[in-house]
Amino acid sequence: MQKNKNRINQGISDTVAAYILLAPFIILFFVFTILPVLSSFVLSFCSYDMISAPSFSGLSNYLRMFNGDEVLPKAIVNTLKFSVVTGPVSFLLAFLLAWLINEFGKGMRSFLSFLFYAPALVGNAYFIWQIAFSGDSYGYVNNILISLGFIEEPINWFKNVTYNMPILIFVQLWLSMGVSFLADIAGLQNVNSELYEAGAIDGIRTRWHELWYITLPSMKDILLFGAVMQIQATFSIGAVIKVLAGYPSVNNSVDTIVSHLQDVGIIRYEMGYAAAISVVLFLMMAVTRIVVGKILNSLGK
Amino acid sequence: MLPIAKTKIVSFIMMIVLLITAFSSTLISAETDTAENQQNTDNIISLSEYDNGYVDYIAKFDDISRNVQEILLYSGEEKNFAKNQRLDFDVSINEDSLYQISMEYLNTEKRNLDITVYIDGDIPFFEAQSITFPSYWKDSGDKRVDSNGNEFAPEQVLADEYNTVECRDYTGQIAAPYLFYLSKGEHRVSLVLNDGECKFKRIMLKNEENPDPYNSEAIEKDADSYKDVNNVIEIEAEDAFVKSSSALIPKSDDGSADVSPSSPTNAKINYIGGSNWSGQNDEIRWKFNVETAGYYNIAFLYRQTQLNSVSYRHLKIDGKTPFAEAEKIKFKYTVSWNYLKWSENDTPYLIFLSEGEHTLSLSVTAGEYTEIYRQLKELSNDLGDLYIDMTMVIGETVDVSRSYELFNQIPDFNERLKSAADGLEGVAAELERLQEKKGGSNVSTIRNAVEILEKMYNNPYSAHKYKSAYYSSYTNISALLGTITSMPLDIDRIFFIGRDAVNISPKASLIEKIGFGVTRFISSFAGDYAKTEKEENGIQIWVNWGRDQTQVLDSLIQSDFVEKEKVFVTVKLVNASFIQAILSGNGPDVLLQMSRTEPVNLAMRKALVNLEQFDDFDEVITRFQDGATIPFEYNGGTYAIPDSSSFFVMFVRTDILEGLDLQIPKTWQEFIYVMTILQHNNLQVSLPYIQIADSSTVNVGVGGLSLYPTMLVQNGLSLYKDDHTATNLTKEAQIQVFEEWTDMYTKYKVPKTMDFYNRFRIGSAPLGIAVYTLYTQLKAAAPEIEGRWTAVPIPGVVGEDGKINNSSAGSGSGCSITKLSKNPENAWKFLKWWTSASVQLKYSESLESILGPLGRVASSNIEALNNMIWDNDFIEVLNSEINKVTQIPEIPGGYYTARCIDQAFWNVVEQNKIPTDMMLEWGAVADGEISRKRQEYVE
Repeated sequence: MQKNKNRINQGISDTVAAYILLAPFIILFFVFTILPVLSSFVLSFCSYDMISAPSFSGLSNYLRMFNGDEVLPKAIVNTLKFSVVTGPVSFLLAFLLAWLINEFGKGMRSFLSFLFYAPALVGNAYFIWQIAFSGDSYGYVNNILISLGFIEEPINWFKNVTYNMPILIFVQLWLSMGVSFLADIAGLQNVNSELYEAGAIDGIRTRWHELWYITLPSMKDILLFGAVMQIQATFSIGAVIKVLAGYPSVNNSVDTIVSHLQDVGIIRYEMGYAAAISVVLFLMMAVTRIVVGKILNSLGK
Repeated sequence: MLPIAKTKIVSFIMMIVLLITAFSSTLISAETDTAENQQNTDNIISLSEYDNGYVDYIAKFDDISRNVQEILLYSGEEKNFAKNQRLDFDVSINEDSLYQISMEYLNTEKRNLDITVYIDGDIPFFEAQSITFPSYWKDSGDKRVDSNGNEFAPEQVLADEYNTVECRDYTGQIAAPYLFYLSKGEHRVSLVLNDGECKFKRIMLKNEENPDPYNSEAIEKDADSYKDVNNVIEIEAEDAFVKSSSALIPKSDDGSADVSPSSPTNAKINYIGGSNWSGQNDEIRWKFNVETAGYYNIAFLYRQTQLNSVSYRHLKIDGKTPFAEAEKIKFKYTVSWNYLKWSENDTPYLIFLSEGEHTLSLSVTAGEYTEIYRQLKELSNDLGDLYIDMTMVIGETVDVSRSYELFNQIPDFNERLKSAADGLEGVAAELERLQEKKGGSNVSTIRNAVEILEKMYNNPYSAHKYKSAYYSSYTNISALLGTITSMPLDIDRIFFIGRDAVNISPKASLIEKIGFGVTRFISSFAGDYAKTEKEENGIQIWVNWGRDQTQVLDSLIQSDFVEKEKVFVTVKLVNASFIQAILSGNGPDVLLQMSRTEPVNLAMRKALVNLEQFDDFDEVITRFQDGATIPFEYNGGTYAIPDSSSFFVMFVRTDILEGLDLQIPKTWQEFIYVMTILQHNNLQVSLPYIQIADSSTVNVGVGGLSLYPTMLVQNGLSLYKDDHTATNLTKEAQIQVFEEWTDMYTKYKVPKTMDFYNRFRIGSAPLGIAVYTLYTQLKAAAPEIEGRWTAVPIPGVVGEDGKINNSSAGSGSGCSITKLSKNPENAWKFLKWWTSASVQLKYSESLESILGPLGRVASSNIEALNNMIWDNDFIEVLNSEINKVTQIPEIPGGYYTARCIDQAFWNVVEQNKIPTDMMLEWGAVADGEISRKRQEYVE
């Protein structure tokens, strides 16, 4: 009895200690993440201009998405284009690069990791693309093309619907070697090397076999982490595009959900509708996450 | 892209057509060249006026002896010298000689005097056309203290004592005062005052001997006769007696224990100088008292933080240079405060001071850098002229598959390249000698240019390939011109150390420094920088400006508004939007410099106070241009008054237009004619266009984003329907104007984006329309084209009455009172105070004294704008233009209008869509958004 009570006391004091230690994070996480998510869900059923108090408006915000917003469908299509290309490509590229770089010695490995991580590290470095693709004849790309005789007049790269999407996808890819790339490198180094020996004994012949049957399955968690980060990143593309191509872009050709959402919320003061769009974006991300999880689970099978 | 041949044919036909129309309408003078003549590429621009500058003038009189004498032209009781007045003096000269002209004067107006000197009715050399006599300034009183106990500079007012100043150069080209040659016999010297106003007591011709070099033996011998000169005279440099510019304000360094006075807890005013004390002949004078006559050594506690450079100062005691070495005292680069005992090889220079009061003067001199500046300026002019010649042959962009043979097309092409390269190499070598080390950023800038030039003349057949490299070399060298004679210096204290006095060590000791640092760190927690308490009738202002602007505003409020109105005001520097303030329920009473679209956006959500409720509203708005409140009107009320406003003017490189025999266009028809001639010579024009990227650009308001609204108002058309329920974008007349606007980009190929500021400087875009504030930028930062450009009203449309309507659509910001205010009456008092002429002017002047000319405010108060220091001809342009500005209303959903115009524009100019289709499509979208917003808020 005495023993039991002690154990219970100890159990409680253990958990209390744990909760106290967790409290700072839990509180901050709740106040700054959970609460905003919940409130945006609530706001999506309201009409709210941030100055007057919100008023309940039923499903009207959701109905407006289907009837009365010409930009949103374009924005969704654009976002999907961006994410379908940049998401998987940069995810695979990140892994491939990590795999290759992992083959180098320590010094070279750190140097190359730094090189590929740098664009993500320096924040606003994408401004160089603004100079490179400047519509002026002194913009780098225009100048080179003109001096090589390919074109005669400068092209307004970001204002031309033929070029702006591919260029922005390229810029986005250049930027995307972020967290998932670093995580992949870390993951590769944590694969138990005994597994490779065991695999060699069990009849693995090529590096491809090694990759498929040992490396990838042991890295599943890291890959999932990278994928989640990538999904989040590709669906919330917007800031960079706004700076480079302006908002709205010509014929809304490269506007994304996030840039449209910010426009609705911040410039037009329609927080309720912006919240509704963000809920839809959230659902899109969640579905993609489930699909990607399924795909990653099938690795090595 | 059109095939090149087709484009050329089209533009050629267009040009012919335009030529014919231009001739038939007799708007352009008959002397203009025919098309055939225009095709000659040897249309070289020469700048003859630069051939008779002072340097060439004075070189002619090398062998003339200089007799030491003074000839008074006028001496007696004070007289007024008014603007545009001419003073004639007849003088008889005994012997051929060179003279300085000096004047003892007192400014009665804030502007610097601008004087033209005539000798026998002629202007002797180019620079004599406009000689500056600076206005002298002093502190109006003691240092001021803000609500946190931090000191800040006293207001600057005109000095009330006479100063004697010679005709001299302020651009950094010539170090010594100008000399004028007068032969034996009778002469007439005339002075014409072009700008400013003063009283004068004395004007004279003077011929001073150059001061002798320091004679250490003689002085040491003489010094022995004064015994026991062991006192030290200490001058706090911030307590200057007078200074030659209102920008030379006392300053505060609160991060060092070395300066005096210093305090680790509060900002103290403790030094003078900085980057504002860097222009040729900028002068500061101090008064000090000597108790013991004798020989003294001078020492400074100074700081010179400009990398790779030395600063020189010319020292005078009681208006006289004691010896030749005092003409250029050298202050080397230091990171922190440094003690300099002025000496040569450890032997201190000694200066004799008699008993009594003396004046010490230190003025900026570029020393040996003047010659470098002069050469660089000449080289930069040559490079610029050559670039325009190249552009006229090649065009904006190089076609590499073509052989241009520039050396055949441009006279002396290779010789000009070679001489420029040699000149630049000479300058680089001289720079290395002066800075006492090899390399450095200035030297490598020049060497890079030399390398490009060498490549060009070594490969004559492919010289055109280097055009863009040449362009960047040229801009780098022009930029160097702006900085190379900049001689900034901070001075904390000046010491006169008696010959027999013991050495002093004015810098703080290590222990003092540690103590200072620790106290400073601890006190940083104690300061209450965000006072939130509100007094009973107080008002709170939020600004999201730079620190300088905020501090100037706060000091103006505390010293002026609070004194007068007895209303407690807190100014808070916050990085939060008003929306956030409303959400938190804790916000400001007054919003300043709100962007164009904000007042109506907030007003329709009932967040602002209708200002028309105040009795004197109608009177207050007479301070602004007629209709200035139109963009702030909503639903019958006015929710803001303007506090800054801007509009377009046209910038013209007169030298280039003259070289092509073109006149400044006054109508769009003429503009297009000039544009085609320029384009035919491979030069470009620039039209204003701002890409809409985010909320800050949308908030500029439609008038400031592009030329379209301006062209609409010139045609007497409006953007919105009178009842503001929809746009007029889908109307025929509006579409017609839209087509005229987009034609500029499609038919005439005006570049859609260009760096107009730099292209205007180099001359490849000699004509362009831009916001008038570019004027200040060009004046301040483009010395190499001074005198070769002008700003004029924009072209207009000829109305039925034959008059030209050249009004511009306006842009700008407003200030307003929020619904959160508990004291709207006091807030209104504040708005009236803030937009008044005297406050706007003081605010602008204070900012200019801190930030330089670029700090000038684009005030909406017409009186304030008029009293800022503009050039005479430009102030006329400003005055005529500001009254013609037509304001575009802002309406709910109006942000969509600007966007839809932008959408239609890009579809037409980049995707070759048909203008009418695009306007119908996007105009409907804009109307849709407006009616949606109206349903939400108005109806």
